[in-house]
Amino acid sequence: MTDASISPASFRDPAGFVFTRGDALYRQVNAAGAADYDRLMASGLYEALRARGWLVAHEETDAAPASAGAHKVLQPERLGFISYPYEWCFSQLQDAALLTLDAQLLALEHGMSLKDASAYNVQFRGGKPLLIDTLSFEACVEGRPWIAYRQFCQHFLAPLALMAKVDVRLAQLLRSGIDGVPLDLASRLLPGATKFSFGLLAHLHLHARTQRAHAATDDGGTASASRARSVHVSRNGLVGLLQGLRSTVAKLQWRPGGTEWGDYYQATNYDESAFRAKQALVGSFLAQAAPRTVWDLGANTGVFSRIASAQGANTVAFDIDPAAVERNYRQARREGGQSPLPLLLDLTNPSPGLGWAGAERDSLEARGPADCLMALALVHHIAISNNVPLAHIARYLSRLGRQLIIEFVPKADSQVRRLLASREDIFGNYDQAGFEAAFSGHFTIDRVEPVQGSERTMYLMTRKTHPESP
Amino acid sequence: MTQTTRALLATLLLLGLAGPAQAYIDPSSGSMILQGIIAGIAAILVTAKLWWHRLLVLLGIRKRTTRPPSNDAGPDGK
Repeated sequence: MTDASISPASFRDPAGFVFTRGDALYRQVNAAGAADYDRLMASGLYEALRARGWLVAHEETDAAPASAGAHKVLQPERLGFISYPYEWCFSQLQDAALLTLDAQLLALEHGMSLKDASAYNVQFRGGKPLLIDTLSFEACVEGRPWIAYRQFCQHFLAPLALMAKVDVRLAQLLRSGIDGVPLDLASRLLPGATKFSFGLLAHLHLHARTQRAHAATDDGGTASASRARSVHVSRNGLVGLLQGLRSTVAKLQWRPGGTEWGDYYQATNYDESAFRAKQALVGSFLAQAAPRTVWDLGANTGVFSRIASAQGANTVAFDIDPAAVERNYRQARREGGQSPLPLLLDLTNPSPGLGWAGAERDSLEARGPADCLMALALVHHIAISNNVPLAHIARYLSRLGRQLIIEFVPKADSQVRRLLASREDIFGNYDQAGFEAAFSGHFTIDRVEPVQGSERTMYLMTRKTHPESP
Repeated sequence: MTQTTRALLATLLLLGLAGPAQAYIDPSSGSMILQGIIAGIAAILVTAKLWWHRLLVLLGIRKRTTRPPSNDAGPDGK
């Protein structure tokens, strides 16, 4: 039997952990989590959550545990792609927040409560969020405040308020802090006017202040801790607090628009027939590659990603622009089912390994390789706007995917002329011959087709080396 | 598992195992104390809404069958 490998992200909660053995994924329930797990299953909460599609499904198996002290070994449903909150658009983080609160309200009806409210416990499938940590539910202790309140505010409310009220790019604060955005920082960055919203005043500004007041006492916080233990909240009070928090989150709004490529398709010089020809070409390349997983790099609002998902590929649609990802997600939410997963990604600074030992959150590369990458109208942005040599682009892409559908955009193209208008052209080898030479170092070129109605060329390539993914 | 066994199990669990749970994350003293205050205000609001609803029913402005808002999630709010 292959050795079990315990997930490096799964060590905080003594109730259990996730591990893999070969290709199979398991969750071990430890003796410490046995009572709460059994209650989740017996109380009807698991079925209620499943019926709403709020919690990942699992089956109890006879598989050998990964360590001693196991109560049960579960086999959870596999998800297509694990994404992180710093890769989500505003509405994804907001939907994840609302799901967490709704699950907490439902749990209370079944005598249980969420013991954590980490944004990392939420994943997306078919345009909808779902909770993935089966062991997050514990017996509700009557009268006790919500243990995960602080974590909820740090992981969800603070970043959402900053995105809505200051700047959507502040979501990237989630990348630097593994436990969300510190409330004192959020409180300092938010405009004073947010103090006139009762929800933001109470759950953010006053929350930050009370935290500070009770953490920095002369006795090292002992008196505060004892006072905290004696706090009693009624059921009505707790439900009221959660509903208030829910309405505070739901009221926050961010409207995409005004950012880089929000209206890219309108702004380009594509005519309708050239656009349709390009779609047909991509469809034909994808049919030839027949991938099970596709990463569309520079997907914009996901027009081409949807060709891949329509062909049955599990598709992730990455883009650098929060407005494009937002629009793509709103569309995916309406479509449901086989829609692509829209995510925010700056390919020139991709998600690194983060957290303890740099291993709690996987880097982009560690989550690959994809069967097929799509890089349409992308290479000029990386090569010219970011000065990345073509050979470096080819090398990195060969680490991310086994096959590659890539569009070469020459200097004669109006989009490249626009990029070069304000700067010196130092890109001597940026031409089709240079492109093919650079990519031939890492890929074999399987197919080459001109993109009708443009100066561009579409390639289907297969990588030469096949290093195993980490 | 039948409905009855499930209900029985749930009751047994509720009676037997609801000891003081140990949180594995730090709930932070300030956050717990603040919740006491916000939940207190929320409870007053819910109760006020309940009485307001009853008053409207009494005056015949609202029908008895209409459920008051924010009062359908907890066993305390019957």
